[in-house]
Amino acid sequence: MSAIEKQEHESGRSYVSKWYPPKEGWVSLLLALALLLGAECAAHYEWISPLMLPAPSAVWLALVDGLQNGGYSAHIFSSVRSMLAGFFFATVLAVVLAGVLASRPWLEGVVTPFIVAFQSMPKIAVAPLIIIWLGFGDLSKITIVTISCFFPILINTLQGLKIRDRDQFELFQSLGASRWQLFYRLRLPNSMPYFFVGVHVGMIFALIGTVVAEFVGTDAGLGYLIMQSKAQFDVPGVFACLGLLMVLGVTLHFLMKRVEMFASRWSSDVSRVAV
Amino acid sequence: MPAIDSIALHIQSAGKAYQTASGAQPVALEPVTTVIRQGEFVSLVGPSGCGKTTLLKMCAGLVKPTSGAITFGASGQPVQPGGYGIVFQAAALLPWRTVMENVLLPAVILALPMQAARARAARLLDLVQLSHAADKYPRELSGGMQQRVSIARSLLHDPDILFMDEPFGALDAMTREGLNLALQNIQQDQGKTIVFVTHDIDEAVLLSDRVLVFSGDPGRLCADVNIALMRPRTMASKKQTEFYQAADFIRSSLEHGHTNSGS
Repeated sequence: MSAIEKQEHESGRSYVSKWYPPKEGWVSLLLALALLLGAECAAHYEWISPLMLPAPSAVWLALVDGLQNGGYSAHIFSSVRSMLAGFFFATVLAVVLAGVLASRPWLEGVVTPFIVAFQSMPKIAVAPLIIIWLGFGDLSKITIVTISCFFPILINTLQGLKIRDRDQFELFQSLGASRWQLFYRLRLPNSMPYFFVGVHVGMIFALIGTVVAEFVGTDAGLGYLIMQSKAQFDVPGVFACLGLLMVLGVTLHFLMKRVEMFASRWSSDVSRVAV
Repeated sequence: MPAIDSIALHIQSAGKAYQTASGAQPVALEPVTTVIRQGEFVSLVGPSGCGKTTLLKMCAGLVKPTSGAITFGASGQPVQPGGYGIVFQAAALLPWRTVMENVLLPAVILALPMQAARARAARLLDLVQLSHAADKYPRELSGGMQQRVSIARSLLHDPDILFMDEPFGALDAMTREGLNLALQNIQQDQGKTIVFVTHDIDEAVLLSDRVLVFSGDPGRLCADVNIALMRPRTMASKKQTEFYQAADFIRSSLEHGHTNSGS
């Protein structure tokens, strides 16, 4: 017991225990439920117009109805498919290009101005152009997703592929490692933490790209559903789609985190671990 | 004792100067001319910043001399990559590979038969007393243990020539003495040429056939001391007259070189 606690105990007062804050997860859950309850009341008592913020119960009904009768699942699959395909192509292209540029400084110098120029332009502004080139449908959607998330992955991977440890580099030199071995055995494993930063950012852009592509030129997907609901003033329907997009984003983020944990185990933040 | 007849390294006026932005050329190492024979154990001794590591890396062909040249044997070329083992001052282990995988790295890069390499790696880990740590990651090891893994790695592909930069610096006295003797055994049994950088004069005298003494700022070779002690040497050799005569001579060369440089 500390000196103060001892004093209190001896003076006859009850032992004052230390207040431990509750675990963060429970507080988050409670907060979310409170917000939903607040929204439900707001809609019920019409503090806010139902056109602006529908009751969570109405959104839930719209969602259930959509899944059962409205063919929501087909649209969900369309969005997920395109997003993952676009993301996959962007990742492969970005890693290959980053690999080529990382080991050829001259080429990197030549290409960098182009990267900077294209990166600064909002890629989704190009979406209507892609529709003109490739027409309606999955191909243009996947293309838009690919160009949306290509640059963050490229830039972060390129940073990660640089060799920052002179001794490691000389070790490989001493063994006569080829350029490929240097890439595969040193640059690539070393770049994993940077690569995943690019991936997390890229995922967000991929989702944005998917929805925008669906706004602009398809007849399938959650973005298309939003446009359709909007046309019918079906605000609960729009919110149902937004909720699904949120779930999609969170699920993919969670999955990527898991992969990252596995691939970057060796590189954790040492300031966070108490030894 | 293996015959020391042919030359392993010709060091001809090899020096290193660095180009800075202002155009000045600070000299890291003034030109050195000497010869390292096959099967010889040569130590480089001197204060920090005297160019010992620079010379070591020039011998290994990792750093190009700005004057002169260092060639290997009769080839007229620097040492071939893959033909030597190197231990850096910092262990330079790959953090995403386990200890065993780190030791096996030379076999992976040089495409050596893996089964034999694995057996050899296990024996080398045993030699450096780290068999129990084979599946650990470098971050779980102390600095001294990491350095021992680095030593085992440098021997995996059985190179004829070894470059070692203060390999035993981070070790405790007991382990250090054990590894000193182990290194001597390997060198004597297999006739390896070893170029060895150390701060420890006693260690240099114990292990080497010759000690090259450097003075600092700028780095300059100031003495080339032959160690005439009988092999095999043990800790008992430290009590011999020749031992402390050599050690004293090296010590005074260092001081003399220190005063000479005017710093």
